[in-house]
Amino acid sequence: MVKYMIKRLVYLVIVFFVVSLMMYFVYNLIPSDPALVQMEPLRKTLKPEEFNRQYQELRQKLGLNDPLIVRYARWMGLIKDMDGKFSGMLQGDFGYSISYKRNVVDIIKVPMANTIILNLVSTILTLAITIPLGIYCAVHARKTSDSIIQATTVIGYSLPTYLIGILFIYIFAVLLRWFPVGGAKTPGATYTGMRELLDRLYYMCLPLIVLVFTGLAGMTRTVRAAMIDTLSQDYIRTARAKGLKEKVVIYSHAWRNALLPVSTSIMGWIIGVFTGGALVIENTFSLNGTGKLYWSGLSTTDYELVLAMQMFYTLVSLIGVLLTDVIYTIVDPRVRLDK
Amino acid sequence: MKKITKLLSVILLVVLCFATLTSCGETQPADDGGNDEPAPAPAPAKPNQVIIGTDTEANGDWAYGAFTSSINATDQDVLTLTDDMSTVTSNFSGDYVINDSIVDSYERTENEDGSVTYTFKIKQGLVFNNGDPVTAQNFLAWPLFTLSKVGKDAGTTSSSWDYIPGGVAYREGTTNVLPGLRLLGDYEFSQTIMAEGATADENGEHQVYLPYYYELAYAGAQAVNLDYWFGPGWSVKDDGEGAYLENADGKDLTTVLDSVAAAQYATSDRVTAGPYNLVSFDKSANEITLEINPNYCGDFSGRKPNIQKVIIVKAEDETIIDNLATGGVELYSSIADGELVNAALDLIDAGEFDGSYTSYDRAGFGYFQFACDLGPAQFTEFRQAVAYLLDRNEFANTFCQGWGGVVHGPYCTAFSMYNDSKEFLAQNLNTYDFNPEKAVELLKEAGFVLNADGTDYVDGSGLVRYKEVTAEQAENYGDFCVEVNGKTLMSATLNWASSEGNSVSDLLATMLANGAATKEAGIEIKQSIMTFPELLNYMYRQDAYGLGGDYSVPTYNMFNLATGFSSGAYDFSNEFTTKPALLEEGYNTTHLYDADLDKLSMDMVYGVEPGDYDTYLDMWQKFVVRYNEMLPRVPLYANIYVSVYPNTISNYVEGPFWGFDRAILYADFVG
Repeated sequence: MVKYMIKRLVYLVIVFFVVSLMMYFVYNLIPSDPALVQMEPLRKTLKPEEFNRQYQELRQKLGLNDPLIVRYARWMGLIKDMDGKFSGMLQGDFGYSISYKRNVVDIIKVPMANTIILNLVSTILTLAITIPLGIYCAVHARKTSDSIIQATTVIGYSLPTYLIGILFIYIFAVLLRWFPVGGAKTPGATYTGMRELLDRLYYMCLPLIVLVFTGLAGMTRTVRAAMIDTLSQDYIRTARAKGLKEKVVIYSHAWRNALLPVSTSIMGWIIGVFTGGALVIENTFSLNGTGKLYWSGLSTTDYELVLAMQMFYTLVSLIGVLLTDVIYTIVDPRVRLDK
Repeated sequence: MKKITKLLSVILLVVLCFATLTSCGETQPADDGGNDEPAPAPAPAKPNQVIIGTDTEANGDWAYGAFTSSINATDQDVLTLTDDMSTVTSNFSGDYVINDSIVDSYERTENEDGSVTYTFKIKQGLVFNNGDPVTAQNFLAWPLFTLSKVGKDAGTTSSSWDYIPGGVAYREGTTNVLPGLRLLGDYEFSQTIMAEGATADENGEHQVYLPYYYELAYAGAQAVNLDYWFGPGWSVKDDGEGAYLENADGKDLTTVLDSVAAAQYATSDRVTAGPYNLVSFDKSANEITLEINPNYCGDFSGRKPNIQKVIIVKAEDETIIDNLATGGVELYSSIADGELVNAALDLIDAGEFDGSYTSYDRAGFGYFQFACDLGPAQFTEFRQAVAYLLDRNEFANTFCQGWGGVVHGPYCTAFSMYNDSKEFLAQNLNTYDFNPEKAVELLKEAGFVLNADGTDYVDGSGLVRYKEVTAEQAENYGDFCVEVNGKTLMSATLNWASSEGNSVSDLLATMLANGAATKEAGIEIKQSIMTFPELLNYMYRQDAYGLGGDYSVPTYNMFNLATGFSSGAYDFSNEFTTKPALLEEGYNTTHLYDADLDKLSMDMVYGVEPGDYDTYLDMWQKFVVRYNEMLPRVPLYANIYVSVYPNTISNYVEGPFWGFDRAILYADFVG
C-alpha cells in the first residue's frame, strides 16, 4: 500500500508538471498582450512617449519579452524572477493578477472559502437526499413512485442551471418572498455571532436549493442503477431465501456492495462540483466565488489568475483520483492496491 | 412511497422553519447594531440609508489609481464618496473647477520660461475624518511619494514628473527635493508646470504641455493624511529649493511601502476627508458600507450629504429587476440596456418598486471605424457610401430599445460645445440618412464601376463592385484584388474585425454587412469574429509577444467599438497624427492621414489659452465638421442612461459626468 502510494504520488507530480506546462503554453499562445490590455485605459491620459515608456516597462516587468519556456520556468519557480528571487508556484507564489493588481494568492482566499463552503454544504445535502432516494427507487423500480421521482429529478438535470436559478428566484424570492434574490448577507447589517451566521445561512439557502436540485438526478440514478444491479445478484436472492428481513437485505447486503461503483461516481461528482460547478450559481446569485473569479480572469485575459486556479483544479482532480483508489480498497476488501 | 413523502415533508419543513426563523433579519433595520431583539413597533421607520447596486465588483484599491492604469469603477465611486479634499474638482457639466470649499485663494503666474505656477492658499480649519488638521503638507505628500524613485520602483503610473521642474532627477532618485513643488507656509503651496516636457523622444522633440486649454487639470492636488499613508514621523519640508519628504526618525522613504500597501487595501477606518467614511468593505459579500463624515467641509459648492448610510452591493443585470422588486437593491445607476430600462420602468408603473427614475444622455457613443489606409476604406467617398447604407436611426432605436439616439460626430450631447453649436452643427453636418441611391452615386465617384473581369458594372446586378487601383493603393489588400489585363482591380470589400459576444456586432451584421441595401449597392463586408484583445492587436497593428499572427501587417479595415468621455475635457490630440514614431506606438488607429484634422485636433487643446472659450469653440466646430466629412468613424448609437432610485430620497439627479457618487450628495432623505 505504502509503495503504491509513493508510486502514485510520483506520478501525480509528473502529471502536475506536464499539465502545468501544457496549460501555460496554451494560455500564453492565445494572441493577447497583457501589458497592452493593462495599459490601454491610459492611452488617452498619458502623453504618447510616456505611454510607450510605461508600456515597455510593464512588458519588461511582466517578463513578456522573454521566450515562453523561460517565462514558464519563472512562473513555476524553477528559475529566478525579474527581481532575482525564486518566486513561483513551487514557492507558493501563484503569480500576479494584472486585473486586480494584487498577488493571486491574496485575491483567491475569500472566493475560495465561499465556494468551498457552498459546495461542501450542497454536496452533503445532495448526498443525504440522493442516496436514500436512489435506494428507494431501486427497491421500487418501475413502480409509479419510482417513475415520479425519476421524472421530477431529471428536470433539474436537463434544464440549464441558469434557468433553474432564475425560475427559483422568481418563485421563492419574488413571489413567495421566502428568500432574498441574491447576495451573501443582509445589506448594511452589522449582525455578530449566531445572528450573523444565521443571516449568512439564510442568504445561502436559495443557491443551495438550486445546487441540490440540479444535482439530484445524476446521483439518484447512479445509486438506483447500482442498487438494481446488486439486488439482482444471487447472494441477495440467497439472503432473502434465508428469511432475512428486507431492511437487512437492502442496507446490510445490497447497499454495501452497491457502494463500490457509487463511491467512484461520488468522488468524480464532488471534483466536478468543486472545479466549476458553481460558476453559474455564483453569477446568478451575486456570490463572490472561484467560479466567478475564474470567469472574470478569462474575460480580462488575466492568465496568471486563471492559471493559478486551473492548477488548483488540476491538483484537486489528481488528489481526488488518488483518494478514489484508496476509498476503493476500503469499501471493497477484494481490491488490493499493492497487487 | 410513504417514506419518501415523509422525507420530503421533513426537508420542506426544515427549510420553511429556517426561512421563517432567519427572515426576520429582513424586517429589522439594518443598522440595529446587532441587537437580536425584534423591533416592537409594528411599522418601523425606514432607516436613513440607501442600498445601491453596482455591476462592477469592487477591488478595494483606494490608492487613487497611483498603481493602476485604470481604476475599477466601483473603487472610483468609493473614492469620490470618501475623498474630496482636492484643490481642483469637476462640476455637473464635467468642467474642471477650483474647489472653493478648500481653496481660500489661488494665483496663476506665467513665468518667463513659459512655465506656469499655481499658488494655492487653502482654508484653515479643514480636518480629516479622524480630526487631524489639513495643512499644505497634506497636498504635497502624495505627489512627493508617487513621483519619487521609491514610488516609481513600487509601480506608480503618474507621468507628471515630466512637466514638473526637477521631476526627472527626483524620479531617478538623484535628489530627494522636488523644485517644482513648493511648501510656502502652513496653508500655502505651489506647483509649477513646464511648457515642454523634460524628456525628448527619439527625434529630439519634447512633449508640449502648455498652452493647454484644460490646464487646470494639471494643477489639482489631493490631500492625504501623512500618518495614515506613510506611518508616524513623516512630514513635508521645504528649505527654499523645493519640497521633500522627511522622517523625524531618519527613516528611508522605502519604509513607507508597507504602510502604503496597508492603507491602499484597507477594509475599514480609512483616514479621508470626503462626504462619507468607509465603515466596512466586506469582500466575501461584495458589500461596501459608508456613513456620513461629520467633519466634511462640503463639496465645491458647499453641499454636504444627509443620507446617513450608503451601502453598495454587487448586483447582476439578470436579477436586478427582482432585486429592485424585493428591496435587495434600492438604487441602480446608469442602466444602458433598453430592455432592462423598460422592465425597470414597468416595475415602477406597476407599483412593485416604490421609486422614480432619472435619465440622461450617455457621455460617449458606439461606432464602427475604418482603417483609412487599407483597401477601399482609403477612399473618402467609399466610407461615406457605407454610412449611407445603414439606417442609423433604426439601428440606434433597435439596439437601445427606444433609449438612445444618434450623433453625427465625435461628441456627446452633454458637452457645452455641442449645446452652444446646435444650430451650426445642424447646418454644417451631414447626417448620412439612409440613402442607397446616394451610396451608389458615391461608389461611382470613388471609381468602383467595374466587375471582377474588368467589364462595366451594371447597377442592381448584386455583384461586388471593383475599381482599378495602383499597386500602392492595393498594398496589403492582395486577397481582395484581382489582376485583369495587366490592371489591378480592387473589390469593394471591407474586412471587418468584430469582437465575440457583442450584440452591436450582431445587429451590425444583420443591418449592414448582410443588409439588402449593401449587397444591392455592390459592397461586400466580410466579418471575422475574434477576442477583444486580438481585435486591439489588429487595430493597433502591434505584434503581441512576437508569437503567431503578424498583427503589424494591415489586415482589417473595419472595427466596431465604443468610446466614452470621462469628463468635460475634450482632447483628441494625436488621434490623427502622421508622425511615424507615434503611428508605430499605435496612435491614429483610423490611419486617416489628414493634415487638417491632425492640426485641428492638436491646436484645439494645445493652441488655445485656458479660458479662451470662443477660440476653442471655433476650432471644435471646425474639427467636428472635418471629422464628419472625412468620416474615419461612423457613430452608431448614443444611449440614454436611466437610473432608478427609491422614493425614500428626493432631489436625486444624475448626469453624463455626474454619477451616483456625486448625485447622492445632493439627494435628500425623506423617509
